[in-house]
Formats: sequence, structure tokens, C-alpha cells
Amino acid sequence: MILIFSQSAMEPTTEEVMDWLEALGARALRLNGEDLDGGAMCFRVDGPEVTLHLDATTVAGAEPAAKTVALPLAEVGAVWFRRWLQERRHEMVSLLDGPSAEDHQLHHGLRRHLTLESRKLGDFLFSRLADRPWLSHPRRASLNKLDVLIRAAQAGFATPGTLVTTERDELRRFCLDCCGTAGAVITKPIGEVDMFIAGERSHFIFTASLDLEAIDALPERFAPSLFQERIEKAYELRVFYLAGELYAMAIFSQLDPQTRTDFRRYNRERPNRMVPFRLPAETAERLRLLMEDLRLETGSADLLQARDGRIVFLEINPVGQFGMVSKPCNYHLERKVAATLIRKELDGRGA
Amino acid sequence: MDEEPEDLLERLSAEGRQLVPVSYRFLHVSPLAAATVMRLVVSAPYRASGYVCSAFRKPISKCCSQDDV
Repeated sequence: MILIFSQSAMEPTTEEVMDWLEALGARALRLNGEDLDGGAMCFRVDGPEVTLHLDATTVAGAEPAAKTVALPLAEVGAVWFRRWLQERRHEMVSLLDGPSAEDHQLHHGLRRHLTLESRKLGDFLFSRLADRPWLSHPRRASLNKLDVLIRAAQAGFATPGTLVTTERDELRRFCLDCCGTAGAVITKPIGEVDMFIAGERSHFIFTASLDLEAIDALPERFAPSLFQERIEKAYELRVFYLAGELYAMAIFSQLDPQTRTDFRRYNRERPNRMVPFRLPAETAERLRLLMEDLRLETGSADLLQARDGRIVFLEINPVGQFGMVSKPCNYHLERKVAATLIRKELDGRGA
Repeated sequence: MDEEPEDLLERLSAEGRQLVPVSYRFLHVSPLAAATVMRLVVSAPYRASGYVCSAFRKPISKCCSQDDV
């Protein structure tokens, strides 16, 4: 059986892969992070054997009379890690009854402890399956952008000039050095992009561009922030990597002011043109080297074709949605991922 | 009537503003995206109920499509 770790919402890619698993005759089971954070569940540990029992009412396909459904971990032949809990129940509610301002520290402490408890439970499940073949692994699902940038340079890629600073004056000097008086730098999170919902609005952290005027408007000191030289691009490249194979797509985002700095600010009225792209052999080799260095079997790499002819490496998302590459380019990646999982399960049985 | 400031930064305390990175000053505000996310949040319980299965079943999102109703 193939076990899929996922989350309940916003996983259309996972669902399509599951469709392919079914079509190809594989037996798969999907477990969402939410199933261990709200539903009735228990782990039964009998010596070395571990069985996860879940409330049958939350399990599709369960026998009508059954109260619980058992998942013996020994039956798991391969594992696909897509996602897990993005936010936990206790992180979304007020834990104290009518908290006062003085309770802030207590509330923070309670939430922190409950988050650690929840993480440990997930870690236990992952560690019990450590000897099975995995496609993506939770330990490698969140890369460090700066570390990857250095490794990409070591693999031979051109990378953008990068600065992490808390100082406005240092940023100003960096902008002048990299881009001149007419140029600009970009800023993006050191870690993950995120979104904050406030009332009726969502606030996304996209890559943003800052010229000298915008830099001068910043306070003298701010929290550690990541800046990179803004490279004039001809087009962007999104490359999906799967077990040694590369599937590249060019995104013509440059001519649309809305998508110029970050194509994820999608123009839904007039979408960017996205076409299959054949990577130069040298770029493909560098990317394979980098993925091997990062011990990744799957991931989406962002690169750009600069106007000066260079292909510049930006970053890698190890668990990104790949439907946006699969569909416009007819790569049928969902089927390829399903086939990879089936092969892994067979390999696992033979081991 | 919506009286909330559009800029999230304006909602932060003076101390909070000093603790956030520069990218927080350039957040992309999107009412449409919020509606999408809220729709997903609302649908989550229905979607989740089809996800854990002892034998493979069609994903619940497909089960709930018009074709299956």
C-alpha cells in the first residue's frame, strides 16, 4: 500500500495523482495532518508493531458497522510526503477564557507546547516509516533559501547578488553597487511565503521591488530581511524535477506589469503565456547535481533567463504544486508521479 | 462598511513594526483571494471526510462534483 501524507485543503495535485494510482491499479491511502488533529485516533504499540486506529466515521470506505479503522504501518510499502498540518486547531482559537493583556505570555506558552506535542506525534509516525521508500521526506520538505543559493553557485549556476541586513544604509549601498541609481532590488522572505487573513482581505507576501526612493523611505533599522539584485529577465523558468528527469516551462511574465516581479500575482484576465522549454544541457546537468546535493527526488526550481543571456538560479520548492507545469506543457506529471510511487512500492517489497 | 486599514502594517504596534521584515511593507492585498481561501476553509470538513481510506476511493473533491450529485 502507498501511504500519502497530505493536508485536507488546497491539494488538487494530490487528488489527481490519487486518480492515476487508482487507474494504474495501485492501493493507496491518504492521511491528512488534520486527521491526527481533531478526529478520534489512537496509536496502538505492540512491541515493534504500530497500528494507527482512526474514527471510522471520518474514513471513506469504512465498513458501516465499524467504529474504528486500523492502519497497520507494516502494510505501508511506500510513502509520498506532500504536506502535513499547516495550522493546528489550538493555533486558531483562544485557549484562555477571557484573557487579559497579562495572559499573553501564558497563552503563548500554551500554544507553543501544544504545537511541540503535535509535531512530536507527526514525527513519530514519520520515524516509524523511516525504512520504507519515500518520495519527498518531511525532513527535506523545507529548504533554507540561502543555503540552497550557495549550493546552486557551487553547482555552477549564476545566482543573484544577495544581502541579508537590518540596515537601510547597507541596503542602499547594495542597491547602488548591484543595480546603479536607476536600478532596484527585490525583497522576499528568508523562509516561506505566507498569507495573512484579516477580515475580508488576504495579505500575501510576494516578491517586491524596491528602488532607491522606496529604500530611502524605510526606517533606519528593520528586522533581518533578504534582498537580491533585480535582474532584468527575458522570461522565467519553472522546472519540475522527478527522480532524475527535468520538465521545464517558460513563463512570459516580463511584459505584464502585474506579473513582472512575481508571476504568482496572476493576471487571470490575461494570463502569462506558458510553454514547454528545452533546458540547455549544461543547465540540466547543474540542476541534477544540485538536486542530488540536496538529496531531493522531487521539487520545483525557479530560474530566469536574464536579458544578458545568463540563466540565473533563484530557488527550489521541494513540495510545490506541479499542476501549473504539467497542464500547460502536457507533461502529465501526475501520472509520472503515480508511476514513480508504484515503482517505489515494488522496490520496497523487493528490498 | 469596512473600517479596517488596508495596510496590515498600520495594524501592527510600534514594537511589532520593528520586528517584521521589509517584505511586510509590500504585502499584496487581495479581497478575491480571501474569498477563495475562505471557501476552501468552509469546504475543508467535507473534503477531509473522504481523505483517509482503508481502500482507495475517488478523492472527495471529485465525488462532490456536479457529475456525482
